[in-house]
Amino acid sequence: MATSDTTIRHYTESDPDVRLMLRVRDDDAAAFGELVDRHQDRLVSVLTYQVGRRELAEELAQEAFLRVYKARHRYEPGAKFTTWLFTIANNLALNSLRGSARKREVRLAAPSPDQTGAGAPHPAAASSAMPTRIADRTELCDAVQAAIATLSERQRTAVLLAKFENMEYAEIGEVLGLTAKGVKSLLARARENLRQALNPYIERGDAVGSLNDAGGMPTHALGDDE
Amino acid sequence: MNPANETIEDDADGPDEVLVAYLDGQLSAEECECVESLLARDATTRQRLQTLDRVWNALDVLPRSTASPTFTRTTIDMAAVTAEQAQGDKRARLRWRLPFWAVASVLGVIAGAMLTLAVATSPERRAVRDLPVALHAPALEQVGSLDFLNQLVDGHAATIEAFDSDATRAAATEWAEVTASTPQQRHGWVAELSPAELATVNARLAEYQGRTDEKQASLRRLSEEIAAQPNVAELREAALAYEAMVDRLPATMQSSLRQMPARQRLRLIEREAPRWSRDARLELSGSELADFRKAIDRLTESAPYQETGKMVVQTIRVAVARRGSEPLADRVAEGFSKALKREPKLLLTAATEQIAGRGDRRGPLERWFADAGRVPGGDELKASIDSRWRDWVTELEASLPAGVVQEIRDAERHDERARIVSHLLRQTEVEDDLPTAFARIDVSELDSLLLKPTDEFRDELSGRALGGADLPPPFWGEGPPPGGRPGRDGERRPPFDRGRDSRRGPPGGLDGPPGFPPPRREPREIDRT
Repeated sequence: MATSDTTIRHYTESDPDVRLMLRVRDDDAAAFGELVDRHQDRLVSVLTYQVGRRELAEELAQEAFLRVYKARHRYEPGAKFTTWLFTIANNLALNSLRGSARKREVRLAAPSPDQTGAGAPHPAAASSAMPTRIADRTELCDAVQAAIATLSERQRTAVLLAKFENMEYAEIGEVLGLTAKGVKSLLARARENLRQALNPYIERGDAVGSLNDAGGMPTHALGDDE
Repeated sequence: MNPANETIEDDADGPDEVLVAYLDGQLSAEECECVESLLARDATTRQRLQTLDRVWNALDVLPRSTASPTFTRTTIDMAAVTAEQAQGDKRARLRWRLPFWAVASVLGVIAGAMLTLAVATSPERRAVRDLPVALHAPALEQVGSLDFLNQLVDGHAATIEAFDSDATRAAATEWAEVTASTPQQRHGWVAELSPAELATVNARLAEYQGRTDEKQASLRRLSEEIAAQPNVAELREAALAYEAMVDRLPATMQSSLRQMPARQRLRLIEREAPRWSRDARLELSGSELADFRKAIDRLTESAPYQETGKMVVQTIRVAVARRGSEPLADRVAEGFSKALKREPKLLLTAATEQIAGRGDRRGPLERWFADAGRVPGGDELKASIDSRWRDWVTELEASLPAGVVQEIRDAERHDERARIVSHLLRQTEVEDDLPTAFARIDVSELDSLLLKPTDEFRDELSGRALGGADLPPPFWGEGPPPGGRPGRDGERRPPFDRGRDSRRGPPGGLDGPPGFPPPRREPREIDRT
């Protein structure tokens, strides 16, 4: 569908990424590099939680950028750049998950430590003299990761985009192919599922409360688990 | 019933959806008023809202990933290759217009083959079948083509000689044995592996299975092509030696090599192999590195070294004072003093880089050394640093293995010697230790540390007081300026908040009385600028 001039003007004026993408459309390699720089970490973060493996997430992120690059000559600013980028990434992640569901990883004989890092010690846990608060946070971190893993693919993606990317409902809707109302309902269900999974921590209250006090800093990078 | 109650409780979306939308700042002003009105009266709704908010806040603990350092470079490289391929494909499409029946036949054959494969092969059987390829996929991937491997063996074997060790020869033999074995024999071989060996094999297998089907097929094809050659043993050994050589290079370089045409790649490795080989000889083991680090600490804590640092700062101060104002000179001198106090190794590194002829590549001290000839007293300073640097190297040599010391002494020129030392010094930098260093921070220091600007935060992490993480110094001018970003009035403001605060939030509150502004959400990411 053709994009109206008003929409193009709106996004060109309001979104610096769109302006960069327009330069990429004109074969400006530096602009492409800047776009990659600006979004690589965020994309890898979201994809890591979507597909469960950092290495794969990085491959998919790279593929998403390559698709952006391949489609550059057809690009028209009909939405925020990040909405487009995460739509591509989400499709790639879903394809990958469907593909991997078909061909499960096969291990020989006794399984080695989990590739996802589940068996790897948490860096924070490595210290025997760990302060209680970091230990609490480590425990909570594991619980939150487990809770996120229980969500459906769509719920998980909606939560990640809302939480990590601060996306509006309408933008999340564009990525997932839903209406804003659908996203509202999806997120409410996701939050209820999370509440149930995290109930012991929420009821105890102190772990979450201390997080708020300390600014909720992550204690380690996800990649270290892998 | 009260209109506010009606809005929430009778909302077709359900009460949680309205509360969630309220927390996400997705309600209109009118809807917000309704929610707040209810919150003001109804403790149960307040509690519900608080629970939902706590759950959402708990997600802040989720770690964020960072793309690998070479991500941008490799993505751009791949994009460039894609663009070239697209051009080539376009030309090829114009040349070859296959008739419809030919395309249909080929597709039919492929579909038939895929069906047969799907029926005939189970995942386990495939894993066992692909074992020889999976185990040596990294070598096959680095080599890329039989043509390149043949040229490497025929005309450029000397380039990889230094990397052809007993280990590569043993691996080549094992490669041959596993390839020649039956599936049953492979099961037997796996059963005899130690747990550590099995973990390695499984990791290789998982890595192979994580590749796309096309990539796996291309690796299998290459493996079969190699197996069909009369000099298969020689080719496998060369592939493994080549992998050992390039595996040490940065990922970007490896990626570039893989994408180069065979001739260009051979020319490049012919030119660079001696240096890579020397770098490999200079690689220090964990314990050797620990000894070297201790020696650097002893050197940089010694009185003569620190005196040299003071002399350098004083010379810089005088030079700046002559060119500008005294206050500026004081500020510059103070900056250098602090930098040297924080990271005493800077002087050694800067002197080494300067003597190696790469003075302008790193921080300001190196750049200053490079320009020293143009300022009063600069030449004398350079000469003095040069002479002291020789003493420093002699002192450091005592901690290094004999082979490495010999390499330093055998270097014909002074700058070559400095390049060797520079290579050794770079090994002492631990680039990816931030998470570990962070996890070691004492909780009493955590809150104050998190409020610091990025550069100070990183410096603190790299300081020995916080667990000995030896991080590379930050690039000067990178990240927010110390004390925050400058405001229009010249005062410092906190670094930019790119978090949720930037968006419209709910007008109501949770922790305070109902109707008050919500608790401010502080940024929760480590600034990775």
